[in-house]
Parts: sequence; structure tokens; C-alpha cells
Amino acid sequence: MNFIQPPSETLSQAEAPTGAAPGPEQSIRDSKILVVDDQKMVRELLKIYLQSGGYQNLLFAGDGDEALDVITAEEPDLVVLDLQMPRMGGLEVCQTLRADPQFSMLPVLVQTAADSAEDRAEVFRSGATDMVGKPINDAELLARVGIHLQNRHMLRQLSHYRESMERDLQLARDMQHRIMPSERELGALNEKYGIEIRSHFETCDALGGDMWNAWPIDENRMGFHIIDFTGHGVVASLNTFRFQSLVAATRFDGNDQEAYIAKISRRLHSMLPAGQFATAIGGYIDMRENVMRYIAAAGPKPFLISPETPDGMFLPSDGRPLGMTADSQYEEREVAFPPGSSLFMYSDALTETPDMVNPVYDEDRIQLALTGGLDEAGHPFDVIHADFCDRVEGPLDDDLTMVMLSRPTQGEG
Amino acid sequence: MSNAVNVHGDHVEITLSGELTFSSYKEFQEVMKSATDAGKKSCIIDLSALQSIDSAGIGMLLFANDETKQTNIDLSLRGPQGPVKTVLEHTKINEVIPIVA
Repeated sequence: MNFIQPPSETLSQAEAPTGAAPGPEQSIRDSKILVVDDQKMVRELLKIYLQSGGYQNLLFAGDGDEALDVITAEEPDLVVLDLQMPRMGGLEVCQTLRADPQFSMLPVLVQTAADSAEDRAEVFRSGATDMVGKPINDAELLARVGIHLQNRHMLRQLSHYRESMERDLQLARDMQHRIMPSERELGALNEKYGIEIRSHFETCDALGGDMWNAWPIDENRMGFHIIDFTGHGVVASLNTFRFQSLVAATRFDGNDQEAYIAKISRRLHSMLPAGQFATAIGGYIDMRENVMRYIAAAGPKPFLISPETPDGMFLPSDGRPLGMTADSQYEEREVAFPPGSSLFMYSDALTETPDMVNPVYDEDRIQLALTGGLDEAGHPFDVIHADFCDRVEGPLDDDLTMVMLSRPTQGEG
Repeated sequence: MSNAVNVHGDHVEITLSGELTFSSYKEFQEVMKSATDAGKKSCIIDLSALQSIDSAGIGMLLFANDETKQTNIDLSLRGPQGPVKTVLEHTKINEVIPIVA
């Protein structure tokens, strides 16, 4: 994008007598301009020129010191600055302004009679935005003032746009966090089923394509799922909301998981653009039958630790991703899940960040971290989380979700 | 990712190497276009030199499958190795796009 208008066009605008042709837009004409010159006559002359260009909001200063005070107090949009002045000169004013982040972008037009290239270079080195030749020519002055005010105006609009975009993203991020279980809901699940749930959710952009959930199905069964949509960022996050409203509208009745997931997948397929899908693991834990029944849609292999398998084991999780085709079929798998069992689920950022060919984290490491192989004290979930963070340098390049569901041994909890 | 497109008799063959990820999207689209423009009735994507694929890469293969179906071209994949083979098996892509020897 090019912010700078062709000078010829701006010149013709500025040369036109006031009122005859459209001058600068109203918002630009309302700009505050500070004129700094030690000679009263020059200040008066500049005032007349600027007023003839439609600028009424003018401020004046007689030397560099006063200029800095006025700039701090009034925050003008543009400064027309003389070089030779008592107390503080123009070059020093420029340097002082550029050293202050608040005024580093303030347009400063230096009036100078300097005609050697070396002198002009020095003016720019001090931080001036542009120059106007002395003696001042009104057309040139108005043209340059017009260009720089327009630039400033556009930069402002851009930064306002960015700020409002950031505000929106923050709102969306809060919404995204709210589609996952709250502390209160997790507390209620813990009360009802004795299951303790720990989780970590982190997006690599402002928004992400991961989500997880856990909810009560009936007296004995707690449902759960973890999902990872293709891609990340805004598009992927929209898909998590789609999914959320889909499952909210079509609740699992607790009977036929295979048919239910096939239906969800078919619906997703019709909602998602071609090539977008989600990998997922979902199912329920039955506290009375002491089993977990789950459906895999190609999510990373969950890790199960139970009294029978103290060293843990990875559960198979191959299956068609949700929404990949209209006719995907799914197969329910069942494993024992007695008291004392834990299930660890994660999105593929854990094993794919940042280098897919040589991952920093792999299944061996997951097993080691979760079964006390790292000799770190604390809950296995906290151990693997800390270990992963230690090993990954810099920002994630995919969204990361980790969830651990633990049933206490009998008598505990 | 890098690629080569060759025409052999009645089919067109695409060889992919490197990584098939989100950043290969544009290149992959162009390759698929030149392959379908060749006007042959089948198209084979050779994956034996492909080192890795992510979910966006899987998405692109599915997208290519949709596109070729619409123009009545038979699409198949050939020779996935290592991590690529694992991912294709895990996501059961072979049930959607045939994998030939």
C-alpha cells in the first residue's frame, strides 16, 4: 500500500485558492499545527499561509525549549520548525523528539535555507520528516504540510483499526476459553464421579483450532472429547465454534456412540470447506462397569495408566478424521478403566513441535514423563507439562492441548 | 516441497518430495492444475520421496481427490514411506483415495 499521494496532485490542491477546489479533508484541516520560529514576523507569515490552506488550529512557539513544552502539553499533529533559534535550536528539538517514543512519529517540517547536500543530510539525520525551503513559498509549504498530515491521518486510522482488531480477538479468545469446561464444572464432575481433570490449552495464534470438553452423561458415565481442527488461527477457531454448536444441538444420548459420531462427522462434512476436517478422540468412562469406551478419529494415541498396566500403554486411535468424508464409519473401542486409572490425551503439537521429522517430544518421552521415569516430583500432568516447556524453545507453531482424566484408587478422593 | 509432473501414456504422474504442509498450498494447487490440464484419465501422486505431511497436507490430498472426481480423473497415491505412511494409515486415507503399489 502506498500512503504518499503523487506530489503533483497535492500541489494542485494546495495552489488552488481557498474554497475554489476541495482542500484537505475536514479531519485533516482540523489538525493541530505548531509553528516554531524566533521571529514574530515569520510566525505571522506562516500563520497566514496555513490559514489560507484551511488550517485554523494553530499553535506558536518562539524557541526550541518552548516548542518542547507546547508539544508535550498540546500533542500537535505536525510541527513546522525553524533551525536557528536562541536557547534550543531546531536540530536539537528534532533529536529530542525522536528519542521519545511518544513523539518518534510526529511529522516535523524543518524550514531551512540550507542548499548544500551536506546541510540537508544533517537535517534529515537529526530526525526531520521533511524540509521547506526558505524563503517560504506558500504553495510548497501547504503541499508538504498536506502530504504529511494525510500520512499521519492514515497511520492513525490503521492503528485504530489494529487496536479494534486486537480488542475483537481478545473477546473471541475469551469466548474460545469459555467453550471449554470451567473450574466450577470440573469441580462438579469431580464431586459426581470422583474424577480429577487437569488440562492445558494454548494457542499459537490469538485463536486456535483445538478444543476439549468433559460433561456428565448419566449417573455412572462421564463423556469427554479432545479435538484438533486442520490449520490454526481464526479459520480453525471458527470450526471449533461450529463443532460446539453442532454437539450442543445434537446431544449424545448415551446409547450408540458409533452412529452418533458418524452423524456428527457427516454433518461436519457438509459444513466444512473441502480439505478441512478434525482429528479427535471421544468417549465416556463408566464408573460402574469400570470401563472406558471410545471412538478414535485419528487423534494422537491416548496414554492409559491403570493398576493392570502401571507402565502405561498407548491406545490405538486410527480412524477417519471427523468431517473428512460424508460416509465415514466408526468403531467403538473398549478398555478397562478401574479406580486408579488415568488417561492422558493431547493434540499433535505435543509430538510435532517444532520439527515434524525430528520431534522434540515423542511417545517414549510421554511414557517416561507420565510414569515417573523423569525422577521429578509432583503430579504426572505437571511433570509432563514442565518437561515439554523445557524442551521447546520459542513460540509454538501449532495449538497445544493436553488433558488428563484420573480416577482415584478406592478409598481415596 | 518440490515436485515434478510427467506424462506416461494414459496417465499423469506427480512426484512430491520434502514436506507437504500448509506452506505448500499454492505450489500444490498449481501442480494439480497442470496435471489435470494434461487431459489424461488417471493421475498418480508418488509420495515415496515425501518426508512429512501435516493435517493441511492431508487436506490438500482430499481436496485434490474432490477436484479430480469432478473431472472424472482417477486419483491414486503411491509409495508413502516412514512418517507419511504412518499418518496416511492413521487417518485411513487409503479408504478414500486408493494407494497403489
